[in-house]
Amino acid sequence: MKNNYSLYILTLLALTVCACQKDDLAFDVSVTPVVSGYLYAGKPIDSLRVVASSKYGGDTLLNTLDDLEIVVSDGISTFNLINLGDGYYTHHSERIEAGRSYSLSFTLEGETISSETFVPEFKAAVLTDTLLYREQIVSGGGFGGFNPGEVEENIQVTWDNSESNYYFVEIENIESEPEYINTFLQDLFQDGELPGRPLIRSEPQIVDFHVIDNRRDIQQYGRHRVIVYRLNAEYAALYETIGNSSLSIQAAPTNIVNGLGIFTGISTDTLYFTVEKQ
Amino acid sequence: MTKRLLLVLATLLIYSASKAQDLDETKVKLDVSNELLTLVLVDLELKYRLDFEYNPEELKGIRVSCESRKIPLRIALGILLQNTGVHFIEEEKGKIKVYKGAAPTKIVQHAESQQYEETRHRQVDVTASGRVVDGNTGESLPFANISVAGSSQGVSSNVDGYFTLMNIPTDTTTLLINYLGYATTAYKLHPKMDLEYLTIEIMESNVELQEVIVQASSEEQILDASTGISSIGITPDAVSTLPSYGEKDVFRSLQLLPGVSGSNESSSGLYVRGGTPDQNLVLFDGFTVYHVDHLYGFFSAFNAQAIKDIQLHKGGFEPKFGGRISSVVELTGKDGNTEAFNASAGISLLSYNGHIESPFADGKGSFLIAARRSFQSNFYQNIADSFTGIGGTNTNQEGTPPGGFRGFGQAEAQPNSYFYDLNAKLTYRLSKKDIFSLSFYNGQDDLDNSRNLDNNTFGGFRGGRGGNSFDFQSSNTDISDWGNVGTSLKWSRRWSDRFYTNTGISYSNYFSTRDRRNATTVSRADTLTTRTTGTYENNDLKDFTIKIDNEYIISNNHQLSFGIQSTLNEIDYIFQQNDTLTLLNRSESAQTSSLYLQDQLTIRNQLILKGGLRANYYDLNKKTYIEPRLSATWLLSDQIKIKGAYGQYHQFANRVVREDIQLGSRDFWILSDDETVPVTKSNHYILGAAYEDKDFLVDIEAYHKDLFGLSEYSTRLTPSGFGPGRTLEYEEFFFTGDGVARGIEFLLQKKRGKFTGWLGYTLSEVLYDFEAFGENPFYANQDQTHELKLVGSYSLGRWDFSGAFIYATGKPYTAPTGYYELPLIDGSTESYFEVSTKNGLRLPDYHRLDLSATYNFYLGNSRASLGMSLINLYNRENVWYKEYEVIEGNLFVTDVSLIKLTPSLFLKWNLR
Repeated sequence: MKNNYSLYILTLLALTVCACQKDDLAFDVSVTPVVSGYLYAGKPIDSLRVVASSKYGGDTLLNTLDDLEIVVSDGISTFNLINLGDGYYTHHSERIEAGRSYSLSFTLEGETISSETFVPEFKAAVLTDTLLYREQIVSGGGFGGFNPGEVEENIQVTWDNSESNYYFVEIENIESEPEYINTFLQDLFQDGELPGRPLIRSEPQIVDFHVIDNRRDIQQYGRHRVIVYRLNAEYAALYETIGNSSLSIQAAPTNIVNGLGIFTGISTDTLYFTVEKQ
Repeated sequence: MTKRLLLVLATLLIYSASKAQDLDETKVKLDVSNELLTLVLVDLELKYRLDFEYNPEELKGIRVSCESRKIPLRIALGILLQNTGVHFIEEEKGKIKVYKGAAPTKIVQHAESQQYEETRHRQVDVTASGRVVDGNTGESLPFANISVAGSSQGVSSNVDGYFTLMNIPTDTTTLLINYLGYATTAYKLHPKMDLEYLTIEIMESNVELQEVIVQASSEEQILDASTGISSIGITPDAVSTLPSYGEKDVFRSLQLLPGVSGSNESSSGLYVRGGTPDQNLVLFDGFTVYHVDHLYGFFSAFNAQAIKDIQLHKGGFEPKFGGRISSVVELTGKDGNTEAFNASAGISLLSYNGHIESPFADGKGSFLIAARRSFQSNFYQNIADSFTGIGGTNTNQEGTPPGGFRGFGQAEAQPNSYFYDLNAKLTYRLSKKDIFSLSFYNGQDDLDNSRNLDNNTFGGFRGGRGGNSFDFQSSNTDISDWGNVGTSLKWSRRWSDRFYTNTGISYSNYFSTRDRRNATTVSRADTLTTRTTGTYENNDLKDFTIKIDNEYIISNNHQLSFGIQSTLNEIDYIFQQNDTLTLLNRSESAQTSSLYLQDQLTIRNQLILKGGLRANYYDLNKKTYIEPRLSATWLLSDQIKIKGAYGQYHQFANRVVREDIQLGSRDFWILSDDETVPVTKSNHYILGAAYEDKDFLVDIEAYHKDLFGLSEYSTRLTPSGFGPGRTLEYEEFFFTGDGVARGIEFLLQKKRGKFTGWLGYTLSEVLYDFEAFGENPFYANQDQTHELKLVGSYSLGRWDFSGAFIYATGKPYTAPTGYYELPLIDGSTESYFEVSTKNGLRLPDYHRLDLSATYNFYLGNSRASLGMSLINLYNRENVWYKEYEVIEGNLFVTDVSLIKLTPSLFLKWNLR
């Protein structure tokens, strides 16, 4: 009888092992570090973060990776980042310099994780106009229609891109309480029916200009800030559409060796224009 | 039983003494169905005063079927004993010996020789050649079997319906002709016939027969799997009763065969024995067709109305075919009616179609034109939407604020898509020896989801400060077109009854364009500015081929086939972003020149050996590829055979699939360069056995395929270089590796009777081994462990009912093992997946039941049929793929399935 029980248990164990094999293929228990590190020209490293990827079937909470000895080097000097907790690392005494290459490395579970990037230099951007007039639209309700009156020519922001780099543009109204050109929208935002206020962004592209569409992009009066980002290719790759189905799924692009995420240099130029009532 | 036999023997003695009968003089009428042969013989003896000599023990349990009006006894016995393994000889006048086992040739010859002496005007050891044609339409019938009644001696007609049969005992011998979907017919030779140019007319099983042709049995089966090793023949007319989405679909029917995957709802292409559709050579009247899908693969691109014969070679195929490593589908187009004008029309919930055909020049020439086109029905739209995921008719422009701000430039679009195809063929028989035919095919799919937007839509935005007025116009192009154009000109020359040549030149073009661009035009008083964003892809493949195929018959037991082929492939592929940036631009051309020779030897009518060689010269790498091909069939008896084959195959053009769920998969063809894209190679090993009698066929085959130089392709934006000049380049990645496909196929077919059908089962695996995807082999996307198919068809008066059930193990897939989020520079956060072992998991099992009913009726003198099909009767939600999404830290998985319960209708009318 004892033998029968042993046989039963062995069989059960064998079946359990067999049954688990299929799932093991998808379940990954190793720690994969994810780096998000943006080096802005002229600024210190203030928010480089390292976390562990979340495993399917495992803990869905964010696992931050602290106490890592992260070394950054620009080829001339080497410095260690200071851990702030919650996966954040910083180094305030060094400012990132445009035109230099930077490398990053640290060790996790005996494996070296590394990356390198270049901080591009920025060539000044120019706005075709810094003052724009728009007639206020007093709507009786509903969204339809624009002001049939005169409309300003679109403002363009241009820069030199003879080196064919990637650029990204962000436009934001920086007034504390901006007034909407269309009064109907004003009511909606005040009532909280629409969240926040519009922030216009482009996607990284190899371009040397961006057209700010008067009707589409500008909805408020006041001072607007235009930030033009010069980006590296590894960042632009993050915007590539990657399949999310089992027919086409593949790993996302990364420039982190033995890890995931991004370590990249960025430079920016900031410009302003104002929209006034006509 | 013994008493009855004694009675029979006694009766025999009485009758044999009274009158001796001659085999050709005596005419008998048969009407037996599944009767014991011994009882039938007794019945014949009693009715016609015959004398049969046989061993009752030897014939025990053998059942026969035959229906005929009064025909000569020799023919009747030939028909009656066909496929039973039983033979007869007339030992002396009026005395007929019936015995089991392979017919000793010398005995037959001896017996016949006696007759020749008696009838001196007869010729002996004659050669008959000619054509097998449809008695109604004059259409030549390829790959029909022609055999000498009462012996195992036989040949097949060639692609033009021609045959030559040598060593026929006498010029009064009866020939039996078998062809799928047609009545097995007996054709009695006559001394006054021109044996060099016979035209043997045979009739479809449901048509009345003419004078010299006698109906033997109705061959109602849909497929003919007894033609050779790993080969199956199928006729479009025979599949009309199978469940379909409206019209009969020949490629969907092929997917019901064992060894061909039947669970690929999104592809009409054939996955044969673990191969992918691009590894399957599709020949239509001699030209290669590179794309076989309509409507995202839901429907095949061939109009069954224009096709008369389909041969599928699942592996181990002959050296005549090359350039693909998996399988061959050989489609023969109809020549057109040589007897009278004919026309047909049909409509289903998906499309309408029609055809006309007519003879000209007194029947020397004929033409056929067949066309069909889809129309925008709810049925069509439901299918299209299930592929595109649109789920409705409105499409929102990207970046639309919540609620839909029409005033901000949102436009509504009605996606417009359709497919069409056109077949045309002109055939002219210049003489009894020469046939010219010109075949043309064009099939295309179009999808237009474009939108236009201009300022006038929004109340006329004109003007500008200081009188600097401008117009603004935005047009969003979203067009996908794909299809084929192919044409071939063929000259068939019958130099003699031993030597036949087919010479053909052909052109084939596959094109696929996808234009997803947004053009913005701003016109001012003095300037016009246009900016284009988006992507544009175009793939254009051209194939120019010349080939000469020869058949030389040395004797009935020894045939040679040899030929040459040269194909020039030109492939252009361009992938552009915006209006200036070209991401990929491939332009390649290569010529493949081939030479082949095959020797077929039949030893003692029992062992058929085929040995051949194909040599290919590929000018891109200037290498020669030698491909030996061997096959053997051993006929153990009339019913049982053992078969085996071996072959080497190379492939120089490969199709690359870029999966895109939203707009269907985009694919393009590339040529192997033997560096980044290797020349693909496979070795086939096949071993099998078959048993076949009048009613059943049991066929089992095991196969093993070694695969070398497989490629998987992906493109990705990849940073290149370093420093300020670093750019993001669109790079192609070719992952290469090897693989193995192996399996066992089983087919049980019921061929005759009111109920016909088959059971097919395949046990298989396909493993790929790519270094880039890890150390261990992984299951290929198309791997399926088990696949079971049950297909049945039942005739009841004017009604035809049929059903098909498919069960298959789920396919392997790749899943995320985890995810991570990255903050982007604009403050937003994007989620990314960490991905599992390639194809480490399996989808749930696939199964589905389809049923159909067809009512056949007459409209005046013309024929019509009305049919209904229910696809996926019990509404099984088979998973096509899984979609993943991370929402607030949780991974959500959506199962996407394709075909739900789908009813369809069709109405078909034929003038004749």
